[in-house]
Amino acid sequence: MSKSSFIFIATAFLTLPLAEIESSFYTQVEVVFCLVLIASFGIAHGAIDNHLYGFKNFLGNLRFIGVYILVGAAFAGLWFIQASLAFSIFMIISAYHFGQSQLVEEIEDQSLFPRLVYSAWGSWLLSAFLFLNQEELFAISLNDFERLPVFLWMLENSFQLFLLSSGVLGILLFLSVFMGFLLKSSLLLELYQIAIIFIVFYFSSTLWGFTLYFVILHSGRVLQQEYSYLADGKRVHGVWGFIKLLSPFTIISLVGLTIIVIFFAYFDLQYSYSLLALVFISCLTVPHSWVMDRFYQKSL
Amino acid sequence: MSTLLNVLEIPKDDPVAFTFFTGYMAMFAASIFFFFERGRADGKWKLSLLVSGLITGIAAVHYYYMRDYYVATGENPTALRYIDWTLTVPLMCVEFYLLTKAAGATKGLLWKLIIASVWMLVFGYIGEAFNPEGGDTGHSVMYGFLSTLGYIYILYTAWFGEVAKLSQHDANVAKSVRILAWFVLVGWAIYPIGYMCMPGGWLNTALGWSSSNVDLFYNIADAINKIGFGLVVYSLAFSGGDSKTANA
Repeated sequence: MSKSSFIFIATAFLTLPLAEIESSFYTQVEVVFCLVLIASFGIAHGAIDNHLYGFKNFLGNLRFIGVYILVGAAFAGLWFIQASLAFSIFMIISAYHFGQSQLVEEIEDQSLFPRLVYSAWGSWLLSAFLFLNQEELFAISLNDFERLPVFLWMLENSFQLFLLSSGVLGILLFLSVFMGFLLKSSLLLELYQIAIIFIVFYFSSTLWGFTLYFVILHSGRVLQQEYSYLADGKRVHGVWGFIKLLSPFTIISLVGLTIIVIFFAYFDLQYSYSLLALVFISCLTVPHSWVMDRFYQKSL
Repeated sequence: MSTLLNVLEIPKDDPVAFTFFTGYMAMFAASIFFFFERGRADGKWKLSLLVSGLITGIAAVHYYYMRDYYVATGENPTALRYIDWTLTVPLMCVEFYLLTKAAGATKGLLWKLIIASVWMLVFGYIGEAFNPEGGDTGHSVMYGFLSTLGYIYILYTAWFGEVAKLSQHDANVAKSVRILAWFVLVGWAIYPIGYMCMPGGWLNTALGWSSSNVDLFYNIADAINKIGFGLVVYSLAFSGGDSKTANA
């Protein structure tokens, strides 16, 4: 069991009963707390993509950052031209990225079959999130996401998607054991974690459920992998050195996010903050997923 | 004679009563098994097997009283359960210490595990037994949270902490400790489910489960965890063939 899995399980046990607290003050605190955690950990875990890519000099670094921003900007453009297509691509890439970060330490082989398993795991996660938080997400989507018919379709059919992805994931995980990609003990632990994720998504509020997964099991795990890689290669010394490495782009991204929010608020542009956040996250996720895929191939 | 027959009457449609009787017999039989097999085991495993026998023996005595209490009143024997757990759960933690003692486990580790298990049980008991009439979510959440801290400490020690590290000195011990760690992760996780079913508890409010639903889980979990713990120790003691020579 990895430390991020342990922290996820422990936090889930400790915080699940909080779901029963009904207080508007508690809800407000929860929203602020979750958004701060998602923004800080979410952005931080992608803030050293340039180091993971392995640039050789200043110019190489500059070119990498340029391409990174260009890809993000192009994806933002796609959102404005064809939002449903952008959203669908974002879902597919996210599914693969979530699955890869979750399973890469257990299934190190990077051939086609393990990549299918990664995609299936991520698809299960996303479909479980949609299905188990259907009501809350419907309430948001009716106001904010009416421009995304594909999202509404996914919500309406979330039960079928969840059943399908559960079946596919189950078959692929068991096949992974039979084909020697995955140890039996790792399968048991994975199934246990899947059960805990299911319980968390079902009982917790939508925001807290997602935060718990995204901050601990995804971002925390990726940060741990990045730290191990850089520390093993003597490129960072200690946790403080790692935090210093993460800081510049984390701060720049947070400032950028704030400017975008102020810009949209100042000009009173008719976009919801939820949709804006989704677009912003997707523009970072697309180049980040590609860098991480390359990083996993290189580091394993 | 008629009193005895009345006490032993098991309602046919009551799986809880059924498992109280089954649990009692299973743990009683397991105790006899561990005590007798202890004689065949190598010297360094005798104490571990004795503790295994004590765990199931103490549980069997409590189940003897709990089954009668339940059949007579139809109520959840909370106090008896916690008396049982207050004795047997620390003893299960003692098993971790005994398994890793040869690799250098200290008395400090033993006491930390015992304190964590008592912490877990005392707060669990306050939460469950002194729950206000009709249930109180604040009470349930607070004592549940405190109790879970003890559980997480034991879980951490078994998976990552001193116990896990010390067990690495011997492949057989490492394997057994890992199985016991699985018992803590999965088997012990059933107990909080019971806790959360009391009035005002999380599962009570969310799913409408009540304490009566939970006795079934508790009984099955108790039998699996306590007998399972003992069997893991037993297989370690007898791994590698003849016990007298296997671990010499």
